Amino acid sequence: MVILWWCVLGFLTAGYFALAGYDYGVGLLLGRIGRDEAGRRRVLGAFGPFFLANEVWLVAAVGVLFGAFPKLEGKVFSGAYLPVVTLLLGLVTFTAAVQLRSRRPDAGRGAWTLAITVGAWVTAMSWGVFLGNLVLGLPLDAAGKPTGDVLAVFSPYALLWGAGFVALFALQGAAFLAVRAPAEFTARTNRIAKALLAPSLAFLVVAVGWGAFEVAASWTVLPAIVLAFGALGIAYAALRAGRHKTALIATMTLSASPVLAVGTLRLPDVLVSSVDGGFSLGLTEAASSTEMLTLLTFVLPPALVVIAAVQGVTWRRNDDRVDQRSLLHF
Amino acid sequence: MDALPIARLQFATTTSFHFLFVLLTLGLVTLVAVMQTRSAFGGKPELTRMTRFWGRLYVINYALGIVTGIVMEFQFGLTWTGLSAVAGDVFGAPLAIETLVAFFAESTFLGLWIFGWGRLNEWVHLTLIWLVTLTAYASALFIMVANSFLQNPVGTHAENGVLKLDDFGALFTNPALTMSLPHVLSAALLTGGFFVVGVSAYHFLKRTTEIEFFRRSMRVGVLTSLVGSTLVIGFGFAQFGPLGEYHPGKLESPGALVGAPLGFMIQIGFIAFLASILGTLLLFRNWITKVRPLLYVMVLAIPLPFVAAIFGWLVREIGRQPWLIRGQLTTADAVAGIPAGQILFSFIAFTLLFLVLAIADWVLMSRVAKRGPEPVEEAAAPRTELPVLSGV
Repeated sequence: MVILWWCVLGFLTAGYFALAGYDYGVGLLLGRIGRDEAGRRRVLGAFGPFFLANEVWLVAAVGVLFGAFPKLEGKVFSGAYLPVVTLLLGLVTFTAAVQLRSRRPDAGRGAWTLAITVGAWVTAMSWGVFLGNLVLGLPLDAAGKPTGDVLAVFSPYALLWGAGFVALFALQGAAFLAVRAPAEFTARTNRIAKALLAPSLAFLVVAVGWGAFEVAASWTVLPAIVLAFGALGIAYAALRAGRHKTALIATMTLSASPVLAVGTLRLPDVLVSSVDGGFSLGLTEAASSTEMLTLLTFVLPPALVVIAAVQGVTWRRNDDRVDQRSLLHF
Repeated sequence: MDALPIARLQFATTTSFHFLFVLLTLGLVTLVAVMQTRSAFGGKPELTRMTRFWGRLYVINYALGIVTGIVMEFQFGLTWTGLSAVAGDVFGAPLAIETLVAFFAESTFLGLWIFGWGRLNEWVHLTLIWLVTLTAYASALFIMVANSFLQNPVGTHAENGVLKLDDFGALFTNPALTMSLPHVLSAALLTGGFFVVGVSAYHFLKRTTEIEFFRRSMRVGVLTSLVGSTLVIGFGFAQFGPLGEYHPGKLESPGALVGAPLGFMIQIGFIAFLASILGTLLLFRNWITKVRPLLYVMVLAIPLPFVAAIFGWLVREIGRQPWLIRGQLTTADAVAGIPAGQILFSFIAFTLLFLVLAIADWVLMSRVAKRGPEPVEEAAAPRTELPVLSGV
């Protein structure tokens, strides 16, 4: 039962990175690809129909984290307080700016465009730093209380992850725009996507190599690492062959794999401290009571299936490029 | 520096911002759904344009409801870590159900609705707005279940300082919930009604040419306000009975801090009720659109339900102190051991960001509201040669 819920949580967080990752990527590249207002509207219009549905995967994931793994939820955010706060600041700025930017036909939009780009940068960096911290272990004392060590949460290894996530999301955003943006942008997005392959590969290699020295990982993490390298390889081949949809799916998988690696890094432990003799939390300890998990099992997975199906309809209806007749809400 | 008051202030500020937006979201979506339904069942062409115009305002308001909600959800884990340690097995479930069954679904349906204008079958599109409404109400239900549990932790027993769930159903029949949930929902209706009436009044003051459009909007708004204010008062006073049972003396506890907002809220409730009755009487022969002094009052009254709602929320939450879960966990024990300086930083950063975004959002709404609906030709036939088409 606990394993099932760990998988549900993994599915939701991986889904969030796979989907919302290209939203942030598009935000990162907004100024570079959309050179004028009409261009920027089309770039934002590319993720338009998916945007609201993508962002709420995070809310659902955190809800399941709270419902099924309350003890983990109580440690994981407070232990990395500042990265989570900057993540939220970036997320709020980005999400609000995207939704409010184009609401008035006659108004200037420069400030909103800036807010989208800055919000996307802060969000991408903070996700990387937060996940990098989870790889190293959080600065918690023996009782699991945060030590509040600012330098520990912004360690060089965590900052490497921050930079790495900017590359991964930007790559994903470029691959997405190659599929959905009007054809006139394809050459530019393709070029950017190819240029981002090398930094992404560098991040994977350094993060895995350096991580292997820093932490004692369990063998369970191997599939996630293989998945990441495999996805990057496929993205490379697909971009070269001009198969945009394959490249998009590969980069979505690539962005989702770091969080899967974090979730499988030390099983059956789900959280450890970076402080010597510090705290650690096992999967079973982190979970809610069996009765509660049973109750949630009757309610949540059916709802998840229905919503995923509805979102699938959204993708089916919008699987071609943005054109003259597309509704551009954002 | 003590972290507790800053952490409390941070949560209270976030929640206040969140409440201001979701209150109007809940009320306005109901009105939009009613308008679209009447339009679908062979109503006047104005009704389609009304759905679009009020729907556009609804969508602008919705944006800030989401982002403030995300920050609230994270704050349980950021600063109130004692809550998950003591009551995670109980409190987490309604929140998890809310996020997945209600909010996740709501946003998914709303996205389809926005981008389905003129693209989807009319009946599918109508179903979508009702699904958005329904899931928004479901969201309110589960959040109020969770909040009522904090007020009155029913259906559980304490075991080694940890709350264990005995009866999940008891969470839904909690006396702290049964009257307060309809109270909040009717407050939302009242807020939506006042908003629509106030904006329509503005256009009559500006001698709009869209007389039929705003006359109909005004009528829907006034009747919604009448229903909302009647119910909000009824369910408001109905709470005193159960409250006396589960938390006697709550309203006296920290003196004026609870008494004054309670008094103001009740005053505003009665004023809104009397105003709605007057408005309903004036619907006769559309007198309501012609009495200019009253139109000014209607515009100025838009913020009143928001003020009352914040007061009501203060009464409910301050009256609970010093407990986070009444009788089981104090806020002082629940706060995480984060250095106060870091919490102060996040408090200032969140507050400034929300303030800027809220002002920007309200300015946007007032501009869009003042512009009024799109001219008839454009709404009737979307010009395909336009470079940019907007959903809502």
